[in-house]
Amino acid sequence: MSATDVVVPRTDASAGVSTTVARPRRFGRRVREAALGYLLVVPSLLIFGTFIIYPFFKNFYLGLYRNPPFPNLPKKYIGFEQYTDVLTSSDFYNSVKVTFLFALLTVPAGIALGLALAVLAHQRLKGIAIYRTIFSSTIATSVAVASVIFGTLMNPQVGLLPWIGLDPRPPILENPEWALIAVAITTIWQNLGLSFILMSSGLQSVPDELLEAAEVDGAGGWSRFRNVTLPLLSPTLFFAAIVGSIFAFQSFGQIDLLTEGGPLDKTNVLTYFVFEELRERNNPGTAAVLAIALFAITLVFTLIQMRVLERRVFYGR
Amino acid sequence: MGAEAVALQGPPRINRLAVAAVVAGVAGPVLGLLLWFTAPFLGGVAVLLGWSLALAFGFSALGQIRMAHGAEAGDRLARAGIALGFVELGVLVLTLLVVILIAAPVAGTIITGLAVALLLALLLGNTRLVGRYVITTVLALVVIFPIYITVVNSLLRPEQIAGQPTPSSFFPIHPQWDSYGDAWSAGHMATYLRNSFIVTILITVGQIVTAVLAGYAFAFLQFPFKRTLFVVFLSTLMVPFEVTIITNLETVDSLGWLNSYQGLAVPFLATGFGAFLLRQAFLQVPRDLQDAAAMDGYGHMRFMVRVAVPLARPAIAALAVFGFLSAWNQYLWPLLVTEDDQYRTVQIGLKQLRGTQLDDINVTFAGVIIAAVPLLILLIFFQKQLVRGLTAGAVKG
Repeated sequence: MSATDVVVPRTDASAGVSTTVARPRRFGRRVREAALGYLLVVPSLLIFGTFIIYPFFKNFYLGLYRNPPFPNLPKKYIGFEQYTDVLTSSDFYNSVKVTFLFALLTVPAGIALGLALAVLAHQRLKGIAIYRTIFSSTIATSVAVASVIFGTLMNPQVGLLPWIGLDPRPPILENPEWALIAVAITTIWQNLGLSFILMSSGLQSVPDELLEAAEVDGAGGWSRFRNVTLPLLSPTLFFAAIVGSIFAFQSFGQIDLLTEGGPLDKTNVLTYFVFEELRERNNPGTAAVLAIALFAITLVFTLIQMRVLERRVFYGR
Repeated sequence: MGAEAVALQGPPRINRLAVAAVVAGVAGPVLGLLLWFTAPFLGGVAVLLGWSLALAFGFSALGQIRMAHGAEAGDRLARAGIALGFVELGVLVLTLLVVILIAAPVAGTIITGLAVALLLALLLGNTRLVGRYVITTVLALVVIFPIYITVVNSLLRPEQIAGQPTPSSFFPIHPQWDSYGDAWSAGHMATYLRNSFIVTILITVGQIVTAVLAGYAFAFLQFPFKRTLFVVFLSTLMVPFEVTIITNLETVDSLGWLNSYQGLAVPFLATGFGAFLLRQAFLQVPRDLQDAAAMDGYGHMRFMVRVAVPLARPAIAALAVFGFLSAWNQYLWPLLVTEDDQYRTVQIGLKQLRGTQLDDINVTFAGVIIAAVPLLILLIFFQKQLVRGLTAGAVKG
């Protein structure tokens, strides 16, 4: 009680001082603070505006124009015709299918493998640090590094497929049934280090006491994993599923290096389709429509995932 | 207790099982040798039966003796049986392994590993522990194999790489280091690496600077439309870069930045992620410090450089490592804006390198290793920061 008695007059006094003496200066300080704020934000905003926001909206405009078959001719306004043409084409439908299939092949398997390795590396064993380093080692590989390694290993002339008893002919990357799976395996391997690191740090946040308590209650290894570890890990799994899908939808390098969209467009994901239209067919209008579709699909799929998965996430506390 | 038991029962009787163990241990190989020339299959069966019976009888005899007499009773016979069994097992496994290793190196390596593990399990008597090591080791080998074989292949001559595997396919007996020299100079890896370093460092430094500035503004300053601007920053995270390439390519072209470091770096000098990360870090800076700094007459810029930035060092380090990693690994954009070897980055360089003939396949492998080493070093030294950067989103939700 006495404390408030002491404090109240003091705040009154200081407020009085600032209102009477510093009003004009305070106004100036506010303006200067705001100016400084804008000044600090402007560099980022300039980059965002030029290289993200403007090109993003420009896509919608570009999509309205059809590019001439020969360069140096003016492009032709055709309105939404191009949108309907592209979005109803069988190539687009195929590309969307391949994109989702690729995500389906890479994301769940990547998370599961990363989790399995993280669980193994979470044991108290001598020398486990070495295993941790090995498991996270593929983070040092880029998409290009992984693709060149696997592309060479799967090459029929110099590859290792015969070693494990697989027939290298016809070349696996030219086989319509296997090409996407081969690209997916490359991707899973390349992202394994990332997945492992993520899952490991998630596991470390599971308190040992809880697991010990479950053990005392007679829960076996699997039951403890299923009923204690997994729920506590669900935020990490949730994050991995969302970010992993976004990554998968944006995959480009491995397709370009391993299959170039082939065979028979069986690996022609949306990003590669955009690239092809832009680079090989010199057709920014179609590419823009495809890019908008890629954005919309990523956004909608992420929102659906958030809706569906978040309900199962246990945030504790 | 043991001594009493012995005293009661008199001198240790010869255990029949132990005798059987020794007999089996001796008879197995003898029979096997005798039968080898007439009926090799039966001979093999005899050897197998010999050692398995020797071991089985020996161990159960040992068990019986220990139950009856305690640990120190005369169990030498049983031990001899067991030893015989082990020696035979060893010889057998070794022969088998040599045969398998020659016939099928991959399977041979796997079987050898399993055999070693089994032996360890028997010797240590802790199957669970050894089992864990076996699973972990096998997975570690699978994960590391592509990298290992890349290193090995980079040290072989091209004609050694193709075709049937030989022992030197797994371990280069005469390593040929010149593939690295070839990749470095003839393969332009030196140029590509230099370009990658320049662009990556430009991007990393740029991202830190813009993120610190914007993060500071969002954390410490009041200005109109602050919330709106922050939402704009975050929404840039929603737009995949692939969506913007069409116009960005035009923009960079019209600026005359194709085949230039600016063209490679400038579009990435700011990230919504960085600004968000730094804002969160700055918000942790105690209010008292701000007040104290204000008393000392610190302006905002001085406070930022002297107090806020040092306190936010962990977040900045995380952003730096994360930015470096993603900039180094960029593929699509460098592919689009560079056509000149003079400005190509390592990732695109690898594509070029792979395009060359299969005669230089070892050079391609060497190039892959050269491209991966900088990140490997980064991973080793900055593992903690990397983990923090990668999981920043996961933890904060």
